[in-house]
Amino acid sequence: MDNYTYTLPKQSNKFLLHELLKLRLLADLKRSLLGWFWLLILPVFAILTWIFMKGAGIFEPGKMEIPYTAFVLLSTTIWGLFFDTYKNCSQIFITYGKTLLVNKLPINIIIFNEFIVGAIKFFIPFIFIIAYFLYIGISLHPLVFIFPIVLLPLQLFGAAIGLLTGLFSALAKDFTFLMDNFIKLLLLLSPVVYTPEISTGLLAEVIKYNPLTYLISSTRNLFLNGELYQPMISLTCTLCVTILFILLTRFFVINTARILEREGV
Amino acid sequence: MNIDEVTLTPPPLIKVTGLYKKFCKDRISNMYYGIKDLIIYFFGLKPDYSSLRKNEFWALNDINLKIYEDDIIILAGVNGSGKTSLTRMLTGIYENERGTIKYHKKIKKVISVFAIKSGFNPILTGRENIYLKAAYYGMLRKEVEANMNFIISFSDLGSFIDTPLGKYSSGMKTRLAMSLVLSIKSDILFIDEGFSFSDSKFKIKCYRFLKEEYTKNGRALVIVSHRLMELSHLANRLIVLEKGKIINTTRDVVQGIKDYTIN
Repeated sequence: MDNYTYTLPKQSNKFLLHELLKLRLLADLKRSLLGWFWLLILPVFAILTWIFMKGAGIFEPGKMEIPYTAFVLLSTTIWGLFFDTYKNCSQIFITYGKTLLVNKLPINIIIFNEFIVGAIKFFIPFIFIIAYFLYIGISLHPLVFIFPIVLLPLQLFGAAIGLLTGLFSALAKDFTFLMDNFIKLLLLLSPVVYTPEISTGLLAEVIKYNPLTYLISSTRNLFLNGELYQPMISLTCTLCVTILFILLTRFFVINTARILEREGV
Repeated sequence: MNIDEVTLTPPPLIKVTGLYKKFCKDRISNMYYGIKDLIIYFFGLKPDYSSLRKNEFWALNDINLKIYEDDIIILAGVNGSGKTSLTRMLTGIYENERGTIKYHKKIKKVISVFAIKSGFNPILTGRENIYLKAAYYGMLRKEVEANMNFIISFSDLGSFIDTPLGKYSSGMKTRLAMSLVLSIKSDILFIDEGFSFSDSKFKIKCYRFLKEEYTKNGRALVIVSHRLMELSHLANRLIVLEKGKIINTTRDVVQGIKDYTIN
């Protein structure tokens, strides 16, 4: 009896991760004539759009530490990391469902892959933003180098919500509709296109209890002046989202097969 | 029908005891049970798998089975009899909630092939797809590189190996997929309807290769198929499923096929 086990032998994960990353990042680009250049063109296009709007005088929100266009450009890019990670994780069953039904793949590697894809798609435009900021004379704090570490909780939060949404959405699409619209609302209820200080009334209360307020503002503040926004609350949020991510990832991994067999995805 | 309860030495590679799997017939009930079970699991509890709820049915019903070294098994049965469900349970794709599946510790690699062409990307070339699918099968890069010449030669794709897969015919895709599978030294190989789109010449080539590789090498092969006579010369064991139950397991494959087709 000792010669038997209840589990199948483990597979190589490193090569699988490499191939999945290649597939997720490059398969779409292979369909275009410009290929890799799109990874560079899209962020430049986004920056040019904001420069144009600033030139047209569309954004004049009053006095700020940095030009409003730069503020929004930075904030929306940070938000993009949260949103993309949420979307990637919530669509795991759509992206990989058929593959998972015919191959026994380690689901934690797939989650990790989506995490890395989100990070890569964030850092390419981010490098352009740094270049743009330096060009228009905005000085960056030396602590900008620990920026990726401060970004991590934000990405963990996006992944946690995405994984929970993905599980339930595979069973009933209602959860996708509900959560996608909730995330859109969350953009307005988080200090992305405004600072946490300017809000008043009900919005001020929502912002106060919204963990994204601390996760986004801290990353933005660190980038600009080397400080965390309300450090104690930000660190508490970081701890909470990390625990949430670990719990939900475990829950997702355990239940993947159950969802696949029920839905056939 | 005769029931051939096989007891051979050396010990089996896989031992299955009292295996059940239930599914739901109705879409709304399926969504409701799915969400309900997920919430139960969320609180660390386990739903009841011993009985059926409304609109549920047993896809697998008390399966007891042993797979031995050198077994080349045809898993037969009408559509919906539970062949694919059983194979997915044995390969760990479906969750095992009731019953036991035990794998011999000497098993290092188990490969399962469902829908032979799935997992390919039409934008990538044949060669790039080999790397991608090999990664799904848990291979290492160096293993793929060592097997590349065999795959290209066995599939007869020649210079088409560097053409995007979208330009391949169905048969070419099957040849590529099957050549990759055959290049892997797996202890147990499961093939679920893998030869549907390949031409007779390629099929015979595959059958010959499989017979050489999976006879007297301490490995096992399980083929899910409706093409029973075609496979009768390859297989040394037949297992027939009906409504989720094993109704016949025999080593007299030809007689077993006759019994199955008559009944």
